[in-house]
Amino acid sequence: MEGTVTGTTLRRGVVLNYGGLAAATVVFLVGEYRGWDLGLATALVAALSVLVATFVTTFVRTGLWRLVHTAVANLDEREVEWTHEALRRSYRVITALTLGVLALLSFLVRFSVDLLTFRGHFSLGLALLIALAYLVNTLPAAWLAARRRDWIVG
Amino acid sequence: MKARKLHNRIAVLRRDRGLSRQDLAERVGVNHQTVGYLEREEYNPSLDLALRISEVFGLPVEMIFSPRPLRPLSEEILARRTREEK
Repeated sequence: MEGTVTGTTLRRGVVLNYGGLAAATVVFLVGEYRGWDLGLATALVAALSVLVATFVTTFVRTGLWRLVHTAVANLDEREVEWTHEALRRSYRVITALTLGVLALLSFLVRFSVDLLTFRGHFSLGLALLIALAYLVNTLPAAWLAARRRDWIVG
Repeated sequence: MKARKLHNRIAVLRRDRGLSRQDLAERVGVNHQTVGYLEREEYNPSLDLALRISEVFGLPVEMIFSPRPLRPLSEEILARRTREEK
């Protein structure tokens, strides 16, 4: 399948898709919390329609979905480089979001459930999680190096 | 070390050989989008890929890739011949 899609179109599609996902989640939660009515049901259908339409046009037709879900062995060198960079950036975002949500939850429920604070030592718990997030990818790196026998120092 | 931008003649050679991007991609074992990136000089190939491309076109790798902007192939050949005659 030859043809081109501009980077701007691709970005717009991804943003719309994420917007559809976020809107569907919010509408669903509001509907579950307050009770469903015709307006909320319509909003949910609209959000899901945006989600599905942009998924097909932006992720499937352009090959973006295939790119990020194909085994490394089946990607060419440029695709490997690209997905590596994408994974590196998304790992940062997921880590920041997860830590942010955990920190928020800890503040909200710190006197009932101790999620992060380790008996009130908030900075220690958070520091340990940040250290883990920063170091965790050394684990697979070390395992991969072990598979390749030698690790060159320097 | 920041990679240098590499210039290439892939688009010209591909059209000259009557190959589509898909054809060339299949011959060198990459996605057709990668051929597009190479032709637009937005991606530097590995040595292995550069050699595979040079094998498909039957030309030395330095005739296809260069760190300096490339002259048209006809000018290059003419300049070589002139140098050889001198």
